[in-house]
Amino acid sequence: MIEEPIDCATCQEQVHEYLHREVSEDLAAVITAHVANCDHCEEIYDSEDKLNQVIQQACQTTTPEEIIDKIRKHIAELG
Amino acid sequence: MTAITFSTPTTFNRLNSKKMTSKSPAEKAEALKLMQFEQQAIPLMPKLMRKALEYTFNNRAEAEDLIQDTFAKAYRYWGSFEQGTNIYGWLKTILKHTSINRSAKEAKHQQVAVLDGMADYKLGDEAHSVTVRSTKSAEAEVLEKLASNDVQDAVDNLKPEFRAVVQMAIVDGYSYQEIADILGIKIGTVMSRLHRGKKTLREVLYNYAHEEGYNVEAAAKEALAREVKKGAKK
Repeated sequence: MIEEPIDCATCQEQVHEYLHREVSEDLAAVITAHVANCDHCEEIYDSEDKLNQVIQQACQTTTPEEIIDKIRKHIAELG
Repeated sequence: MTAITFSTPTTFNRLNSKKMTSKSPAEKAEALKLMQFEQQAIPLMPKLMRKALEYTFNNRAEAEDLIQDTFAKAYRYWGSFEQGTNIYGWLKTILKHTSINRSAKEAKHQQVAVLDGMADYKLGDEAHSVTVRSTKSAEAEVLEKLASNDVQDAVDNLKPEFRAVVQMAIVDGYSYQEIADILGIKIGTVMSRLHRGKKTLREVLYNYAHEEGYNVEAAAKEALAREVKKGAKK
């Protein structure tokens, strides 16, 4: 499956696409192999992944409750 | 309709915090946003409800959930809606993708075990260990120290076009293609906005961590020391 290794720069360019599963399976495999063996790239991948988690946790409920209430009220009025 | 930009501060609240008082332009912007939302989006609810009923094969309760989700998202993404363009089309796109994602989620519920396996498979076996392994980079540690509202503030203070992409990709889990559809932009633009949005967030959050007195360099040294120790054990 793993065709050829990639260099660090190419690997790092793909970090967002990799974490969002927007790369092909082949490329994902190549990146995975590289990251597993490269501390520097691993750190960057970890860090971006962590930032994603932090953002996800912090912004989980960003629609204010009063807006949701308004929306609910309008839905109820649809009849 | 006047094209008004709201919540596009050129500087971040965080950096500006000393000057900020309780009645901020951001609050006025929020009021304007609500007004626009109620005038433009809400009246289309009956029309969208009919669509939602179609998607849910006339299951009223499901359709209502779908509408609630759709409008909640529309409110969140409001900043990315280009005033004067087709709002019904925009809402319908959000509805469609919300519906698709909900069905996907339900399917997931029915076969959790299968999908659990697949998540690993998709990233590759080794990737799994990469993310799960507890090598915490110094950066990751800094991020962990930040409070949720700081992160939320930082996201809120992104320019609307960046915020929408960050929100949709990271929080709501949309694919690049879905984001491109909803925002009416190219996939390449989705990518560059996500990259730049995250880069900005990282900088802002670091600045903030620094202001809070969290010593980034010390954390880096600690992490390095741990790495060295671990390496020595091997």
